[in-house]
Amino acid sequence: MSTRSRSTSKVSAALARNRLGIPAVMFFILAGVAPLTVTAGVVPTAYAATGLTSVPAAFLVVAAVLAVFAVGYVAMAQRIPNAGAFYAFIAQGLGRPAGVGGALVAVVAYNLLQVGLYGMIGPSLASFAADNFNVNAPWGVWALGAWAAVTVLGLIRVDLSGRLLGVLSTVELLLTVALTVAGLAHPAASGIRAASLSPTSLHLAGLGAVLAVAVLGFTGFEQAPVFSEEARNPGRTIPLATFVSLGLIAVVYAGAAWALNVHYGDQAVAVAQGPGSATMLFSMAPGLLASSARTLFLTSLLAAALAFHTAVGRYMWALGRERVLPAVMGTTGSNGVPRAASAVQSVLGAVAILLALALHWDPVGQLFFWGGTTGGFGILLLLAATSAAVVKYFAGMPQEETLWRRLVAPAASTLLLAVMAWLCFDHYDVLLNVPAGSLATTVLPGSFVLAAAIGVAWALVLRSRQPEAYEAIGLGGAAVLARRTATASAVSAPSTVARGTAR
Amino acid sequence: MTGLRRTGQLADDFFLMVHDDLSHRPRLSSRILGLGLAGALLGELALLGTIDVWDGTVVVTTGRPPQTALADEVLHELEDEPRLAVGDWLDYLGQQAVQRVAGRLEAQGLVRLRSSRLKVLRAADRWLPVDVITAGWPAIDVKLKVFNGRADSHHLMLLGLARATALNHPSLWEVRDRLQDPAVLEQTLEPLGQRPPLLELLAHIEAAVGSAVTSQRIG
Repeated sequence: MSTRSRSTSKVSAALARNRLGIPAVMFFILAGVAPLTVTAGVVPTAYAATGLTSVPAAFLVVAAVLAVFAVGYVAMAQRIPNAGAFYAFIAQGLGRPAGVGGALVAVVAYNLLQVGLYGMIGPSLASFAADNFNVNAPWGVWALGAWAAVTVLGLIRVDLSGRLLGVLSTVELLLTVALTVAGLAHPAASGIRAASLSPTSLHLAGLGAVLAVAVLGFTGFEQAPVFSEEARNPGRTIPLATFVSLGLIAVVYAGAAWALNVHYGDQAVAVAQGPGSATMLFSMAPGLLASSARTLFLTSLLAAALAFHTAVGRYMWALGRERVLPAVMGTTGSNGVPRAASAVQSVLGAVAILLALALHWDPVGQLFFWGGTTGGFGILLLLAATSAAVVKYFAGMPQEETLWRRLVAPAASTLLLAVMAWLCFDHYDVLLNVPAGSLATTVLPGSFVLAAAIGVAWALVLRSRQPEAYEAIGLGGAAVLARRTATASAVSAPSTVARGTAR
Repeated sequence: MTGLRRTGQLADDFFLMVHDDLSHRPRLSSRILGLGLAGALLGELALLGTIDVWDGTVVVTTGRPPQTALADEVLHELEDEPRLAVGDWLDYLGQQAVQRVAGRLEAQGLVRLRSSRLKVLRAADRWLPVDVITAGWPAIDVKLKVFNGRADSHHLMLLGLARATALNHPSLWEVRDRLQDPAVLEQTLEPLGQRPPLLELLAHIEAAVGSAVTSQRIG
């Protein structure tokens, strides 16, 4: 990217002031990952639904696989435009039809993650209001209230101030660590056992399920390349922010999940399946710590819902701008917010909440956990496809990167992620906690097959009907630029390698 | 070139196009407006042949001298810092572009400043057009010339800027197909291809706007 040779100049100084450093990018990542939502919401539900105690080990294993994945991911991210989106990688590496297929899979997956959150927000707000203010209303009312807040905040521009996000996510992390320490300090009768942290505790039958849950927990870590153009030194800032965030949240997640296991001992799964599931993490340290963490959990859930809402919005905006989705999706309001995309996402959220109410779904066990884990499964599929795209992309340019970054790491992570996805698919009944052969075990993962098929077909239609739009798939805002520079460099022919060394 | 009701400068006309003539609010978020105006300032110099874009960086060449003090200032800044990427220039110039271009328009007596009375609420100052007809003209001019196929590079650059910043202007409704369909747009802007840096400049602005929206740093 752009190198700034004169670090003391007026222009560079003015630019540097306005650009993001490693902490700022990390805060944006952490806001999207929403650590407290995962440790207090996803982890107990994972114990409950899967009935397995190996959740902590799953976080460590998945973090290791994702770290291997990230090696090739950040290397490729530096070379392609629109690097914030999986489909851009897939389009560049595996071809445009696969790219559009991936784009639609991502739209479905991110939307499921977002609407699933309402299933956790509703009951959490309801029980919080009942306990503290003696206000009793069904979960649907609270979920719709949260939905209204997200809809409005999504349409008016919310300045994602780095400082505010930073404070919030730091407090979330610190509270989680404090709860973890408190839990470990009061072990159950069985004492502190490290068995659940060991990868050997993972059994094949439930492996896919816990791994999908862990992937769900890490979703959001892939967002760093979105800030490539905004980072002070993209070549360094983006990879470091990615790896440091990954390591940090892996330790926090595994620690919190382990603490639950130690504190509740053999009863961990039983408690998680009982009525105390939602407050399981907080109950480890009664008093001020628990009540402040419980309050923060609510804001964390809302912040996560809003973060995913804007993430889905800009994903659909990018697709609309490329004419993969209808052009209206690619429009912004006078405040710069992708208006149509935001509205569509809000409509989907309302539909999900109303469906859950009409069909009497269990908000936490079904809307939240099914939505979240199926979204996580979709992300897993995208990670595997993206990793394969990295291998293919670098296959044509062996001298660009080291063997480890361009082949060994991405090939290994492709294999590992594909195995994980298969295990997950094979044991989808364990993941959803339903009898084998239930309709949901076909419908939910099948939605991704359908989305991918529609995407590939649509790409082929675009190729014959709108070749201009087809050419631009995956290039994002840089579509015109890439085409211009492709023709320009054909004339003046300065290679990218020469450019990199000249400055 | 210079009709009775035309400011003649790219950034001036773009500024007037962006500002709503009733509410006086910009139709773009502040960062995207800054990027568009920065691009327009570079476009003024590119139209004169004073700068070129080579390998993604801005290079100062010998063209016609700038016609306004602001353009001259920008040119000096470009000369002081050779071979900086276009995106960096857009970011840098974008930080001050609104004030600088508004200042130039004010000096010509085309706009005046109405300070916000709600400074505490961080309400922005508004730039009011002195004459609404003059302020509304650039957009209408672009639409008429593009619609009738008589647009010169000035009009086409304004159309390209509107497209790159996703400006939604009611007067451009009749030519919206050119803004929305990439194939038609490319065909319409084709004459700009004869002046090498212009299309590339527009592409850089579009890419910068894309980054601003996707990273949510639009304010």
